[in-house]
Amino acid sequence: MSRPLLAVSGLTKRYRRGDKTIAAVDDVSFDIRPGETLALAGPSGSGKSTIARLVLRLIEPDAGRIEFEGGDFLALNGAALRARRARLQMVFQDPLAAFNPRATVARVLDDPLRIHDVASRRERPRGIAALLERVGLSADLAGRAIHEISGGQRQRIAIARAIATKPSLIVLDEAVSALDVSVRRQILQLLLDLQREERIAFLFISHDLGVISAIAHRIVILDAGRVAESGDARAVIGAPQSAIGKALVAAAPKLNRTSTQGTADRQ
Amino acid sequence: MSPLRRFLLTPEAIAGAIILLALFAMALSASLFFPGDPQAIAGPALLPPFQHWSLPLGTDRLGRDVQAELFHGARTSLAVGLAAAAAALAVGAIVGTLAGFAGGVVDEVLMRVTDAFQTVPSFLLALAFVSIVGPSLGVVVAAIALGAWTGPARVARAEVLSIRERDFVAGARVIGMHPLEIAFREVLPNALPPVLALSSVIVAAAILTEAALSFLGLGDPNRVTWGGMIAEGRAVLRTAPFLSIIPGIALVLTVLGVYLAGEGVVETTAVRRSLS
Repeated sequence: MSRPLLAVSGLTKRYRRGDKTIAAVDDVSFDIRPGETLALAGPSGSGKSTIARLVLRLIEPDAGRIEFEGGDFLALNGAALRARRARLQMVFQDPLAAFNPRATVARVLDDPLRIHDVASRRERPRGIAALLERVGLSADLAGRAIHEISGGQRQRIAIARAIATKPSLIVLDEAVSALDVSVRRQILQLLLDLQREERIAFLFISHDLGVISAIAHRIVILDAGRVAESGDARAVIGAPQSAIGKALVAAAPKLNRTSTQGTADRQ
Repeated sequence: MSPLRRFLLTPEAIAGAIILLALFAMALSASLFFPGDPQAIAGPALLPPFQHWSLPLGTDRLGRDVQAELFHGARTSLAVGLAAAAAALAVGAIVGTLAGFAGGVVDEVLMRVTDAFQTVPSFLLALAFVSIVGPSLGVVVAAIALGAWTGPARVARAEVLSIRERDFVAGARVIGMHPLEIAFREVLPNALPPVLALSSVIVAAAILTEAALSFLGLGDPNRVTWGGMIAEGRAVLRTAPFLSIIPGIALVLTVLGVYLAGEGVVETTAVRRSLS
């Protein structure tokens, strides 16, 4: 078995609310192998997004270890951390909020290429065009403002920005939840294609078990900041053992079936 | 509807724009209509207005052309007002952005410095600064900006505090952008609109402060200023009140024009905000 790409152990994040301390994430451990998709599922408030932000070092944990590509990710700081971020990217839920409202498509894609020295100033316009093409968009889109393009196009731009620096892991925080059903299917297909061709691992955060069973290899179900159960995605969704797992499967039966079929049709 | 057209639909904006345009025309045409030194003697002393066709606004105690002084004074007022406001907004925006974005000790220190400046009356601050450094146009601009940057700093900080929690700032961190670049390239431009809304108040206050400094004899002595003209006319206030009244009216109209135009701009952008 190959070494894990990301190994999270004992991850804990507490928040103060008044006099009480609440653990948003409580002793969570999991790992992701190269090229694999691990889904984090759970009801809202179960700590999914907090874990995403901890793994990306957008917030700092109170306890636990994060090992990424064989090194202690929590030990990195300043310029070393910024350089390492090239390998660990993120796609946000709301594709409009994820970009500077004043930005153009070209600037959004230019930033990672410039910051991580992927391409020289002269080569960057070609790099931007290549990225747009890679996510199935026309290179003409480069001059447009972010607020002028559609939600699906924006999420493709977000994915293009995430893959610009050739990462080994992308955290997708409810990345398809805000999209309508047909666009969602296209974006999931794009993610599957990228994973197959470039062996990118995904940490896929979602509350939608239908989407998860279409894209994820393994699943971790969270309940109130703790791991309720984990295992092979289809096996867990097919026969959940934990109370919260059963509740999640029972809660969205209809949505579950349609989107599973929808994705299955395309494969 | 274009922003310019919407701007021109509000009556206060039209009035403000007309006054400001007239003022700019005066300032720009000053050396065209009155090419010589405005402080040179042009005729008999204390000639009342509307007595002589070539000196329509009369002359002062030394026989200087009041109209020429008024035109050249418009230059000083506008230059000082705009430069001081620009400096105050720039300093305020930078300090506010750094404080709001960095947080912690940096925020604490910068905001206490802001408090310190805010507790000293800004006119006293300007007065002290000019008396120590000496009156010249640049010093007057700096002195006025010194007391005016705290407002923009507070507004910018408040705005930055809310913007820095937004997803796109997290996105900029994820792609490895340097914190200073995030602060000044991603956050600051989005925090500017409410800061710029302060500019009309600051320009108007700066023009008045400059006039007050000149009135006290702390303006640039090599330049005609409206405040200086009022001070000059004070000695003959009973016999020739027009010497103080004319630049006084110019000052009132200018400040009024800046306010009205500023109101119009705020109104226009407010409409656009509520529409979007």
